[in-house]
Amino acid sequence: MSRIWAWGAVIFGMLYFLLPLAGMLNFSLKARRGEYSFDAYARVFADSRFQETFTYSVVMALFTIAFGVLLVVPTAYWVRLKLPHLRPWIEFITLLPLVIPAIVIVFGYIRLYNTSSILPLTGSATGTNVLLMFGYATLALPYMYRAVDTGLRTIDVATLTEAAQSLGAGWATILARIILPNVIVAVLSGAFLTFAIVIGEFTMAALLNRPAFGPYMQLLGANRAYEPAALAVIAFGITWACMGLIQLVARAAPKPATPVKT
Amino acid sequence: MTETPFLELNGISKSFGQTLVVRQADLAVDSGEFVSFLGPSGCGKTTILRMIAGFETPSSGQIRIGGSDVTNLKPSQRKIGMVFQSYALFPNMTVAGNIGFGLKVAGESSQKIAARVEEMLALIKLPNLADRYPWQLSGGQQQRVALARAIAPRPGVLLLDEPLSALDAKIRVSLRQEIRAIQKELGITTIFVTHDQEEALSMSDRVMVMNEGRIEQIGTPFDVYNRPATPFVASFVGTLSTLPGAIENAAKGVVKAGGATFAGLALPPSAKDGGKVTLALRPEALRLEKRKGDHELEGRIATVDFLGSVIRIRMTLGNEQIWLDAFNDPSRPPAKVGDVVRVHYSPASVLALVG
Repeated sequence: MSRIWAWGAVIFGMLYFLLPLAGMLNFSLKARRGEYSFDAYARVFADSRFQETFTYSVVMALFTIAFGVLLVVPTAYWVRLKLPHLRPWIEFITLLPLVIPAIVIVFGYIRLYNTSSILPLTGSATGTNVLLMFGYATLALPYMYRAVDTGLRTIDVATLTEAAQSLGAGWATILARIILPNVIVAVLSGAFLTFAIVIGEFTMAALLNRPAFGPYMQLLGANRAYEPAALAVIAFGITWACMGLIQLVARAAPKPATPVKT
Repeated sequence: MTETPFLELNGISKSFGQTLVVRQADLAVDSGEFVSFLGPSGCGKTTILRMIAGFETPSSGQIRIGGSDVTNLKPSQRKIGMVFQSYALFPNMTVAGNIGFGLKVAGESSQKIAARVEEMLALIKLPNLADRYPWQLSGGQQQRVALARAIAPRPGVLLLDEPLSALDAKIRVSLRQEIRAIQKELGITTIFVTHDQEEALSMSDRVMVMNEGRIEQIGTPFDVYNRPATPFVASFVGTLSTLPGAIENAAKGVVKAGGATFAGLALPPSAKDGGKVTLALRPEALRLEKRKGDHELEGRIATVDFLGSVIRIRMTLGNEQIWLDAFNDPSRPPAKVGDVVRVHYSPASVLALVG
């Protein structure tokens, strides 16, 4: 009896998630009257603005990932090694972006870094791109920090650090040769999440007026019928590919060095 | 032995907050010497080791290695090799990568590194495991690789922090012989931290016994075992039966303890007639057969533990208990519980500890 209910719940859940997606996929294929076609997709891919905005967002995502790794890995490492009593505070701070809406952050940015401020980042395209990257890094912080911190938990950070120090290694060497390679899987899963967030982000890019993929999706959605559905399917595909890649790299993780009893 | 010690601790103290964990430690280790730090957990032995390594800074005092003051040098500048209880091999590197790490950091050429790695692998008798990862090795193999990694960059001092504690008993014994052999072959000055007295006694040139942050005694294993300087050393190193007693005649060394009278003992100079004294006997100081010059005691056998080559007997002497070790003799069955037996001892083997 309970088995029936369990299956019922699973089927209901699947319908809840899959029906809208199936409907959207179905609709996106109906651009040509009376038959299924990839016309909407073809038009999306042919649009030069799609290529421009998508490239822009991918490049931004890569910079955000690089910045996030450089910020989070040394921080999480240092907190674990030297400031373990600060961990609850650091965790709280990294969770703030989940609570504070992106629109609040971006308005704060605009007030702080406008053209009449000391640091007029919004005065140039490059400056605004840098500001947007900082914003993306903030949004990705909860995921990146958690992923890296969990990765660090699986290795004996303190002893490995001391072992490397006794062999003559300095901090940069320890981070680059010992710590980063051992948490690389965690870093990559954080990186893919960051990628998915940056590709889909709308608020910050729109309010800073940058040609990103999110605002393009919104613009298309406001003006066309079939293309936005096609675009949404494409965006889902990208996100799922990222999730799949996380699974893939997690499987290739280096094994922890627990002794094998012989 | 050289005239100037290679490693010197001069009045080292260390406190964490209000707790003083090491008090005024002085030690001089000669070049090529193997010294063990022995004591119960929390006695400060690991803290001293970590101060030599540079992971902790002494609250006061000075550390010198090879004649120069290293008290304020970073761990990476001290040219020390360290082996940890948890092996601490780098999981992302192969055995060869681990052993060559110190040389790579020092900027050696890859040819030199490869040659040294090969040499080290031969030394630890694992020549075919260069391409394995740590998780593919047993605990004993991992610890041997950790040893090779520590000595590959030719450090001045080798520091071993309970390296055998995580291993199986059999591997522990074979590896301790191997470590000692390698240490002698290379002539490397070595500090070995352990809470296992058998390890300390069997491997070391000298043993430093510690308790509650204080150095109780520094001496050869023979000295520390046979001539303990303090009651703590006497009780911590080896099994010891203690009998509280009263001095009857200090000059002649007569003491009444456990309902028996001991005579001809070597009492400390502070002993007075009527004073109190604690007699301490190693289980092997008592024997069932009599030898020339032996004195004797009568006691009742309380328990008999057959341990194989040795039979450990607990007997009651008045209200006290003493332990006796006898070798197994297949032609003679062990004594029975409840028997009253005569046991023999040489007065020289009884330790008298005042206080």
